[in-house]
Amino acid sequence: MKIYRAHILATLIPLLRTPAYWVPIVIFPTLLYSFFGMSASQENEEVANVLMASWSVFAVIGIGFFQFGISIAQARESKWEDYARTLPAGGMARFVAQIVAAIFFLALALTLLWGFSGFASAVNLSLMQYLKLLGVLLIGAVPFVFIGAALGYSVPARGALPIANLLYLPLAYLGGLLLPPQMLPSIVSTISPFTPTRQLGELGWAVVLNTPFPIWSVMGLVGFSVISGIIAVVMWKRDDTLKTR
Amino acid sequence: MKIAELRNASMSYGALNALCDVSYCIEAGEAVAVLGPNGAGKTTSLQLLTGLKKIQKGEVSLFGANPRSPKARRFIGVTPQDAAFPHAQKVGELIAFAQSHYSSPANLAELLDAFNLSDLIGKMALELSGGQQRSLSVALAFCGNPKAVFLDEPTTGIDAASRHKLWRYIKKYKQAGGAIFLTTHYLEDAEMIADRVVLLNQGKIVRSGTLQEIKQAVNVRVIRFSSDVTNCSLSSARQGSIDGSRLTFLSMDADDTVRSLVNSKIAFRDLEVLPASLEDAVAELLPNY
Repeated sequence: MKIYRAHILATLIPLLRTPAYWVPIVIFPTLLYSFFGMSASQENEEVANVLMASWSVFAVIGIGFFQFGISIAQARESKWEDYARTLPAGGMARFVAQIVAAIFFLALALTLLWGFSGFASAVNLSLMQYLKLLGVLLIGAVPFVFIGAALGYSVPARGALPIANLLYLPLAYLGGLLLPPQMLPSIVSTISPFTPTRQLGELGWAVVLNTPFPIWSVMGLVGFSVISGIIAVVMWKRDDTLKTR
Repeated sequence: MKIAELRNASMSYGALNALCDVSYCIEAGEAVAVLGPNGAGKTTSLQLLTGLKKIQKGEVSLFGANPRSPKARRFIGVTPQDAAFPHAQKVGELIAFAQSHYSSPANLAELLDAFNLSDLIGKMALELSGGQQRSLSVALAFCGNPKAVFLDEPTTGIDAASRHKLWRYIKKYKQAGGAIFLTTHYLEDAEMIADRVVLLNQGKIVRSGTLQEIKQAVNVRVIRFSSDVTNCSLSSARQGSIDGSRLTFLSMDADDTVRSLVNSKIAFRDLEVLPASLEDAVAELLPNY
């Protein structure tokens, strides 16, 4: 337990001291929501709830890509890792520390977004809906964590940031998080249901609209989790082999 | 009791043979200096023994187990050759992080004092000077109160006073029964601490044995004298260093060399005939070092 605590602190403290890391993932979802979602969220409660759910999903994918993609890529190149790997701890402590850090920053991002939208828009959700949405976002984060990890284990740190950005915004757009799906151009709306962002978006929207989860989006997310999980494990094994051979 | 062992270990990086059929061990309470030129296989040995690399051929063990298993590493401390510190972390935090991995860590105040880190505990590790960073890196090897430490060129870049203090701590650690694996290019450091020496060159063991055995293996005597002549040739000897008017010769037959010096009619004073140092022996055994 002492080792896990030490790894969690060693992961969290430097990130908290680096605003360049946490400002984009904690503040940007709320900031962008205030620019693009606020005006449509003033009158209609349903629209406000859906937009808030969209930007919550946006926060989740940012943390998946940046916390896992960039942090892992940077750690792989760090000489400090060579020292850390001689300590009597397995890789699990480092992985758990990454998960806890991701949950911590997600909690900050969602608190800010939900607090702001609850105060400044027509959002109206019950406590149970908030809890359900949180659960959906945490479980739905899995494929994004795996995509981030696969990215982190396969590209150098300098390449991870632009690639994460290249994935982040286009996927958010394709998934109907920046613009509602019905407002997307027809070619984009054809592709949209096949993206994990749209699939997680559908689950978030189902929670705030009190409708059943669309089975196709659940299946899609499971599929993405399996595929991206396999890729992440293969990339991790490959990296471990390269490092230790 | 064997702390760590390589048995017929071979490692290669592409076409480069880093280690070829190398075998040696470190016993409890023993200091082993692994010496050799750059690329000799010293760091690869350390990486195998501490679980950083998977062995390709042969066997490696640490406390009788595979060093890749965290359990086997419970009683060791490591200073890698190059341990850059993580971004935005303080000295005290790094030490606390490392200590949390051990059941009975070393006394913090004593450790900080020994490595001149007491006043730096609240500073960011990356803001320390190169020498201070190296001291911190060595301190981290000892912070878990380990039974064995693996030090890869521990004193590189450290000023003389800190280096002296550091060696005093390392000697005390050895006297208390700690085992030491040391690689260094400072042969006087190795001579001061090592019980045994393993000389590596191009991944192969050139010679291994106790410090005494290594020195005797070359059968060299050091002949030193002062003279106004800076260049001369003496029988059975080759000229070593010149320090001002002080000349050093390495002789295979000290009697013959002294006789030839006397017969040469060169004016000399303060003649000394000394046993070879480790540095002299290594210079003989590894001419490319």
